Amino acid sequence: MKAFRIRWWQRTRALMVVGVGSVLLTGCYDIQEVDNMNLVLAIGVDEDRARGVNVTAEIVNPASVPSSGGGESSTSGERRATLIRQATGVSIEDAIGNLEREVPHSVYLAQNMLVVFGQSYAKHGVERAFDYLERDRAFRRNQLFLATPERASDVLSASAEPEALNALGIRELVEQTSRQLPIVQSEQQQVMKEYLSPSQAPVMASIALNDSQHPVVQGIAVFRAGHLVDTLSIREMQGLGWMLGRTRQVAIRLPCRDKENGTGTTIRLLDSDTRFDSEPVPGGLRVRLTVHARAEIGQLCPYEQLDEQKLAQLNQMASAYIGQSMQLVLNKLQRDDVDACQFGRRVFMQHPAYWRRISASWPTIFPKVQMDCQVKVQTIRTNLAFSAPESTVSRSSAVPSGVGR
Amino acid sequence: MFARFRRSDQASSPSGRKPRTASDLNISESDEPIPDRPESMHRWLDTEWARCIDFQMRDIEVCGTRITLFWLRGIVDLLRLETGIMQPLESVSKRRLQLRDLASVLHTVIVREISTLGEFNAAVTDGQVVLRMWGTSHALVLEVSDPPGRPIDKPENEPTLEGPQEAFVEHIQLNLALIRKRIRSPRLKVESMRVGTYSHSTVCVVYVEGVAKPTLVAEAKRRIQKISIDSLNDINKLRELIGDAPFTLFPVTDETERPDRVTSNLLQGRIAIMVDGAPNCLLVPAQFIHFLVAADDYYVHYTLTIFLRMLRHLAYWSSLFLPALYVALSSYNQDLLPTPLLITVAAQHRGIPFPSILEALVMLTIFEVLREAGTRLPRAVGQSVSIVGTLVVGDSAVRAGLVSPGMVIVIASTGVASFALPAYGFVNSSRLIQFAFVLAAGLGGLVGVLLLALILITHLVSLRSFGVPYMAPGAPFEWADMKDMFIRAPWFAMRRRPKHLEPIDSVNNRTPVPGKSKASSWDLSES
Amino acid sequence: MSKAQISRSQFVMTLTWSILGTGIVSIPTAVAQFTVRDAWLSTSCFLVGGFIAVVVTLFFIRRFPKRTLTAALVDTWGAWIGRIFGIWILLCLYVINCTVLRETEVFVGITILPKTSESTIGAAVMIAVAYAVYAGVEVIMRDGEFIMPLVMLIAPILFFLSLQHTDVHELMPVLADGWTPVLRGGVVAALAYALELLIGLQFVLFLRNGRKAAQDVGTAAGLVTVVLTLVTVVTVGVVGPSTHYITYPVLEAVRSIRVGRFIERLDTLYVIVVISMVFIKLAVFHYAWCVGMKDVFRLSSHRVTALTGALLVWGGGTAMFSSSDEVQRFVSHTVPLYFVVTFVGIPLLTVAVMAVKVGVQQRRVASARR
Repeated sequence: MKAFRIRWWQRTRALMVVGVGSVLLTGCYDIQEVDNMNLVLAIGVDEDRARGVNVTAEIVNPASVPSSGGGESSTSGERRATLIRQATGVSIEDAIGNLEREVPHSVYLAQNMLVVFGQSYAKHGVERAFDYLERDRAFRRNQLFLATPERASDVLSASAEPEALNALGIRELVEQTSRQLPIVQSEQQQVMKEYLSPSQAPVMASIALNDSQHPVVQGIAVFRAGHLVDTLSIREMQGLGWMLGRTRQVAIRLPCRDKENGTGTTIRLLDSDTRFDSEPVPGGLRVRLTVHARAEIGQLCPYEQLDEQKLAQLNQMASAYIGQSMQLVLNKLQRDDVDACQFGRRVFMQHPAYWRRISASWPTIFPKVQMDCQVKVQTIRTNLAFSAPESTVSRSSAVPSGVGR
Repeated sequence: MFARFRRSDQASSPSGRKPRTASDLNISESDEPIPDRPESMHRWLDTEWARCIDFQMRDIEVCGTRITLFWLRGIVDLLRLETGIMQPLESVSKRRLQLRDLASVLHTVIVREISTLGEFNAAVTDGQVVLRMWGTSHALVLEVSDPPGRPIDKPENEPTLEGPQEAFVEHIQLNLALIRKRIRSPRLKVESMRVGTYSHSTVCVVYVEGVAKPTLVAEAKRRIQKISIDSLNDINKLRELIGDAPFTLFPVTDETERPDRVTSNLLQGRIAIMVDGAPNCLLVPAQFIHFLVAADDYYVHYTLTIFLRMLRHLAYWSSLFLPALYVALSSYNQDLLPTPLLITVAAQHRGIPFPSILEALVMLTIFEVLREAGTRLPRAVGQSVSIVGTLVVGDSAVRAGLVSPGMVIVIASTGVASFALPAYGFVNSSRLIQFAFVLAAGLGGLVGVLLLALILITHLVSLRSFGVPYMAPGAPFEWADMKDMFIRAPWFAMRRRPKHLEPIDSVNNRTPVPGKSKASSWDLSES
Repeated sequence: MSKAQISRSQFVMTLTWSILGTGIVSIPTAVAQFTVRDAWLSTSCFLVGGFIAVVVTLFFIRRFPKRTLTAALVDTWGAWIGRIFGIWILLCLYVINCTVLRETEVFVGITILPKTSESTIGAAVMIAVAYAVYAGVEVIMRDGEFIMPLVMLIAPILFFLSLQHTDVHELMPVLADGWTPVLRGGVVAALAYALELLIGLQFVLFLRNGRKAAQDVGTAAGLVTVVLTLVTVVTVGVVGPSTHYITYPVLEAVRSIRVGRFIERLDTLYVIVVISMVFIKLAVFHYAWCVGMKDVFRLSSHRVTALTGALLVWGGGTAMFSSSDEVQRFVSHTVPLYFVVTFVGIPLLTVAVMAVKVGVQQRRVASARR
């Protein structure tokens, strides 16, 4: 009996050792220490000769990351906070695989926040990248898709001071702009939504380098399905913003009417909202956009005095400006035949049955769409001053007429 | 589940092994009568009390009757022996003395009669004086014991800022008095038992009749009666002998050295078990939540208590999980860290030769060693050791590039978090478990931590303390008891005793809510 | 064992977690195969399945107030036929557990531990589950209670943070393609997932208040419907048309949360919630299976099969479904009918037969008296 008990205990112990051991052995597959990884913050995609893909990875250089502790880490002074490495392959996925062979430490993509498409790659179709970027677990769908007229590698190696990390800096730039025009925030999920919507016209923020080689938001790149078609300037970008929906804090600069001294009037639209209506007309479609905006005055022309009449005039001028911008964009988009203003999607939302009928011929209908804009700007506050300081100027120090409303 | 199963098992099986009592052992704790002749008594004493240098015996003659006194030196109050026994005996003048006469003569001491040798031994070892008047069948026990002990002191292990400052000492009578002082009612019952083959320690079950569940009291007594051990002088032995789940890391009984805590717990429906010689007392049943409650919670305003309780819950869970989460996030799930944080972590960890898991284990061990060193050394030295240890070792480890500063921060805050918990025995369990969690984090990252946490939760909810679920009132959930769990409701809102203890009388507070009457204090002062 | 007492809130909570555990991961995906914009309508079809479950439960507890489903089968049909039915039910429970485990393995493997072998993950999960089942039904229920505050804390945070990316326009136009895809999607939600609520029948014996079991099942169904519909609305709002091809759309919705520079990457919280709920689900189904084994094969205790059964599920998960796609196909195409037969057909038939038996008996007694 006793012998049995001992044997039983030994067997149990052996089983336990095997069990615990097997659990221990099978663990650790996924372990990856921070020192052994290259933190990729942004990848740039350029077309290489022979239609290969050249991928640029912006990797954090932990040796020279500015830290609050200061001390040892920043002694190396001039070293950049990020490293740029490039690899070429048939596809992005292939190129990143090659990067794995060319750079010590494994490539860690889970913190990637930007994907910058170079112009030639974008022209030949970014949809080649979509499946990989959607499928791979490392990428988050809130990473930004950006287009650039330069080579993506140049944008990623530019300095985005005062932000030490180029990718963070560029993301910050895009976010600052997107606070005014949400359309600029071209996150992957947004781009995919636009790509898959009936309009099939995604847009991406366009980043270029300025004269001093710093990245700037240059406008918006417009795609037909996956192909880069055109780039909208800042004013056109604003127009597109008003066509699409809400905007905030967009400043409009209007010329001075009387005196040509270059300053002009600035009206800041606090927020704006757009309503979309559509009705089929023979041989095409008529859409009506109603924009409501509230505004404050940022700057008046010198010698201008703000009275009711002036205010109404300003409102009207701003409305006209917005309407013109919108028409400008529409003309451009219609020339390019790309429905970046999402008319197709919005028609579908309002009249699904009608859309189903015309959707096949939408590329021929869109260039002929007629647009009515009704813009109403209401200036609700004047900031800290009523009128321009010059309006009180008079040598006789007499109170100017019309003051004191 | 576990506990109940096991308990009913024990209850149902009378099982071959009967609990052994002292009488089974051949150390003559016998029912034999005390010899009535001095010679046979001496013969017995020569075998039984041989080589006991502190055993004292004195023959005196009182009016022609021969009387012998027996006692042990050192635990008898010699002054009272002199004034309360010797002097009255000298003044006796009556002839043909009866035992009962002596009892009336010795009226300044408590007197009781015994008749067996077992009782004789018990009385002498308790520090009593045994008076044998030859020729009678009984002996008298005179209560003049004065075992050495210390006076009542401040609670060292459960200090509070406010509230009473008395703590239990190693003397059960004093300890009981400290409770009696607070519950002045005959409903406070004290049932006493002797446990320990050699130590014969007094074990008392203290409860408030009409509040505590009777089955609970019966269960406690039944468990204590089963004990058969050489000596029982401290609470921990008792705890391990009567606890529900012997293999768990978590304490399923609570202990305290504060009589005020005992009192409030008794009045909630718990029972206290006290052991002679132990400067603290056992409270059962004990729930998980009980260990995150400090005595101070009841002595400061409830608004502050709410905050402190929350903080303590946070401290407890972070003392378990913090190192493990750090390891998991820095060596498995880096994608879950915000980018700037990850860059900082990466920058810190650069050039450190160890993987995070090893770093964490080494630092945890060093921390435990330092903590142990700090506790064991004399207080003055201990403090300097811990300061030198933490500051110097930690700082130089970071400077030498052996450990990342982030890890030092994590380990240190884990330690600090565990210091924030009021119950020491409870902290010990988390000290051990955090190692397991670090290992799990090293093996499976967050998933490993999560699975181990689920096992831990399952274990916690499967525990019972004297039949009451350990995680009550959280799981099983009891809304009414939430008033004293994550928060402490103001006293006027706590009208009922905790439901999970199933007290007989559930209402403990009938005070009307203050400030609710329509008459304001102004009206009162006028009238 | 029959002394175990489960309160109503415990029962409701555990049922809710059991359904949501896999439901919150898979239902939006399953429904999005049929419709994306109207997916929320499909998920609200869950209520229909919930209603069926309530009706079945109601009939069952009227006839068998203190019986588990498997014990009722043996009682009604006698030792042999009853056992055959019992084995059918046990097989079904086993298959459910295998699918759940397989789904979990795949989920964890895809999202967190890509390089770890799936069988290791499954083994670790099943060890935890076996322990919970071994500890008994009360412990499982208390586990369910314990994770409630966790879920209550995390779920609203994730929900409200996801709202900022939600674009309601993604749900429009409503019913552009008519009701057909909505109903087809709804069938999976209603029949494959909602009928899992009938696992409650295995627990009727342990309920403190068994008579209210049908109400509790109804409450759980309502809760699950509300949660699922909200989750689907937010998910489709955030993820948009991509919901159709993305494996874990809800996870994507959570992954897209980013507020400022620091509040981001909260998917851990979501995974924690999902794994905890799946753990409860596995424990509930495994316990039901063990109790069934005990009833059908007259075992001394459910504990006998706790660990071995867990191993069986672990092996079966891998053996039966070699890929994640197979699981998804099985759930979408086979499960609805399988569940209707197993969890609606058999119990109702049993109740009916028992009613006839009792009726015949009463008539016989009455005629004998006459």
